[in-house]
Amino acid sequence: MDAVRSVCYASASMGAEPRELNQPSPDDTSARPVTRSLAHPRNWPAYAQGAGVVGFCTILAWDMASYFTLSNLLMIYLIGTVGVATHLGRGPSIVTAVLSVLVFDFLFIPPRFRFAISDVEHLFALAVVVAVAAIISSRSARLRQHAVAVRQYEREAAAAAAAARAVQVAQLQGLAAAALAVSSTLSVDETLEILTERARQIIDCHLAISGLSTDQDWGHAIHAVALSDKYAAWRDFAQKPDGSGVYRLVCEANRPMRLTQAQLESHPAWRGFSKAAGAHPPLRGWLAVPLIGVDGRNIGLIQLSDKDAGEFTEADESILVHLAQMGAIAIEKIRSYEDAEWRRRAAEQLYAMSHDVAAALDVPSLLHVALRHIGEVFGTRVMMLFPDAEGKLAPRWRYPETGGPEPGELAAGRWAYEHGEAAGLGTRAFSAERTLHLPLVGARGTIGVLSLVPRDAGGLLDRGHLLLLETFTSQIALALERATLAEQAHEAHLRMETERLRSSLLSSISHDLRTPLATITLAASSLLWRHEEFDPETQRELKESIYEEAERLARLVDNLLNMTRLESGIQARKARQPLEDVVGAALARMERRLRGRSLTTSLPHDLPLVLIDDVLIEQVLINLLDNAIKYTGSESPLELSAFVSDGVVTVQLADRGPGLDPGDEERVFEKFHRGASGPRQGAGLGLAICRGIIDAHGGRIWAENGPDGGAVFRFTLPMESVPADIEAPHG
Amino acid sequence: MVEAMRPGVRASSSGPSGEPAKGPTVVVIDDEPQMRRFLRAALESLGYRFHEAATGQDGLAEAATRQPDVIILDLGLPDLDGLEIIRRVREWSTVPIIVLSARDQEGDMIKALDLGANDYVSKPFGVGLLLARLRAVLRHAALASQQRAEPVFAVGALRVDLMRRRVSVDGAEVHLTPTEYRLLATLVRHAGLVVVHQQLLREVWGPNHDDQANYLRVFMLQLRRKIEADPARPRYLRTEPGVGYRLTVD
Repeated sequence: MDAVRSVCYASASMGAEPRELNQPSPDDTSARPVTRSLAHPRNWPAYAQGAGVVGFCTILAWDMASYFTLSNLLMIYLIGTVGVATHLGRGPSIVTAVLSVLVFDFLFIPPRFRFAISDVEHLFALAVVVAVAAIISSRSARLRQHAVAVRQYEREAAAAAAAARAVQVAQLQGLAAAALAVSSTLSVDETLEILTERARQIIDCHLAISGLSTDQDWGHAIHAVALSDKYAAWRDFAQKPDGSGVYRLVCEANRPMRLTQAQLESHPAWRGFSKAAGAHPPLRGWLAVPLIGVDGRNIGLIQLSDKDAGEFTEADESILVHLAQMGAIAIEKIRSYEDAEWRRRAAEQLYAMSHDVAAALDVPSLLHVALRHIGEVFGTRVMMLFPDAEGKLAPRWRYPETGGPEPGELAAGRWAYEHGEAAGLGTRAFSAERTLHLPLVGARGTIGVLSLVPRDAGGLLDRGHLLLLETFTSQIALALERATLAEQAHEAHLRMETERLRSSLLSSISHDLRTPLATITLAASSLLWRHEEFDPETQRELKESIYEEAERLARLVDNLLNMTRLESGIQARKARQPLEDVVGAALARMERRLRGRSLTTSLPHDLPLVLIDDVLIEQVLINLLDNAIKYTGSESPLELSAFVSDGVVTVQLADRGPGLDPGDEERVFEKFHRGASGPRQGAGLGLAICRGIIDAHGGRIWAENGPDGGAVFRFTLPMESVPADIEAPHG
Repeated sequence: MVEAMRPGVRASSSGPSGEPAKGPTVVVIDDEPQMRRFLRAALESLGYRFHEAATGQDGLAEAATRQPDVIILDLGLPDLDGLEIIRRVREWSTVPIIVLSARDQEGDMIKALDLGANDYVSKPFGVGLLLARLRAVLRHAALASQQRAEPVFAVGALRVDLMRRRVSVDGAEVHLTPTEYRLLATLVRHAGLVVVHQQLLREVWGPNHDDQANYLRVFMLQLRRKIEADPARPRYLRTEPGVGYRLTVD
């Protein structure tokens, strides 16, 4: 019995050995529960089946006991035990083997029906059965375990592959969505915002920041920050990097950089936000990828930190490189679009400016227009410097009109003026200045300087912009020169015209002043020296001629004064008044000269008020009356009338004289023209002044011969709509 | 009527050739010797006591020491602005002032009238015109000093009874609206003198109508149509273009 027990123990320990070998790998924890479940004592159906197999073998052996030898009967049990060992595992197979041995010993080995073994041969046979059971069961269990493990591994591998595929799909979808989002915007800022937020989401980290380089020093402005809720406190973070440290390495080398936090901390270029530590969100690992422009130049960078799980991987880097490239292309596309758009606008403005400049009537309005256009296109404060009377360059025009230059900037302006070359901002001379000075070079040398104070220094210095500016400048210079020349020519013409007029006026006036003066002098001297020799009638005539000639002189002076007034551009002092007032005043002043002549006036009572300068219209009437008196006989009747027709008031003076010579109807209104058939006295100014005065009133004056002979002079005055309370006064 | 127009208001008994010592005193301030010589000859022969000054400063001294009945002032003086002289004289005296002005000095002339000058004569002028102006201002000053207005004003066929507010032409009564009457009465109060637009507007319509010269012109037109035989050639209500109106007294 002890021997049997020891064999059982041995088989049990033998079976325990391969269990360890069956483990797929020491680390593969997932295999353990499978083995455990196989050895579970509560696997009772298998044991029951084993017992059943023993029972079945016993029945078979019992029937055949009489025909077969003992060892052959044992074969039946061996077959049963092998079957159990193959299918039901090690525990049940050993139990079955032991049970088979015990039952066989009890029923068939003599002494039968007792647990005793007489022959050592039988003991060996029984031991073989147990050994076979143990070996086969352990082998088949191992095979089964292996199959289970393989199935499990296959399931897990499939699940892992599916998960990886899902992540990949999600990332691809993220990339695709980012591509779509980026390509649907026309704003650089928005592009960066999309890029930053998508990068943070796709790579699943807490912090993403992107910025564009402002210049080749790699300083860059933060354009977009994307932060998870973990960094909510830093949402407004916008510290502008100064273009040094690790950022610079990425931009300069134009290569991605992937560091764990430890690597970052120990990096020589890393300074741990020495100054900005409080303002900057903390980092945990760092992945930075440059944004590279179409020409391979760096245009900025995008950086990530604090990945949600683990450190940044190579795959993350690839994805970010993709994103960055996509963003960079979009930004370059937008920039070139903006640039093209800007150029288009600038070209339009240039066209508009040339148009406006050509239409400008004088130099001030030309300069005003030009400055406004430049200021609008280039977004700058603009100023024009011109030499003053002493040749000193001084600011003369500004856009907008406030804000003056600094003294130093004037020095740069003077340099530009003297050398005919650009100076100031970004040029070779005075390059430290904020202002750019461009000389206005015309055909006859530099005429002034255009100074610009740009809002964004980088933009203005762009080669294309500078070229455009130079185009604007040369346009302005040419237009200015043209306008100045035109003004000078106009002034010269005016001077010449004035000279000519003055000389003819002088000769005419001196004649007309001398004639009455001669008469007066002669008559007065006669009266003084020989007065006792003249009879009273002659004396009276002499005195009268003195008086008349003096009056004529006074009229001439009045006319000259009024002409000067009109020609110097003095505005007529118009007031709404009845025509009768002026007619009455004119007739009163001509009273003496009209004596002995019939003059009928016919002014309808319903004549409207007219808007006139009464002094000037009185002069018109006096001149017309004077003209009629001069050119008609002393008793020839005159007729002064007025009427309303076609919305104007027409005033006419008709005489019964010889009328106008053919072709004289217009010429009589010319300066210094005197009627051929007349008495050839007077300056020939009266009617010309009439025309000037009537023109100034917006009316028309003309002359013609009347149907019944004699001349008719007419003038019109525009009728104003008169307010009712003035038309019909009460009280 | 003609008697009333004579210069010797304070000594109405003296005729045109009366004692010079009893005639009105006139100070002429003009820088042109010819003008002063002419005025002296004309005015002394009519019995005026004549004093002259060639500069504004002298003129102010003369005006203060001679106690003139009337000052004739040329606006274009070399040393002092004529307007300034009027301002200074008006600080202490209401003596009538007639300004002499050139035709192109209308603006100054209206300012002079506003500052208190009583009338104006444009150069060149005839002696008759100047004498008429002198008579008018003296008559006006005499009436003012006696604190009374003539109850009845008459010139030509026109007769204005200020007491009864009656107006007649050739004996036929003319019906005027209240405003027309006020306008005519104002001109009668300043008979013979020019009345500038602003003054007429103020006196007839009140202080807030300064800028409505249109009213004035329309009412003047209506007034003329009622009292003038030919409104286009007025006998009584004369227009002084650019200045104002004048009711003639002769």
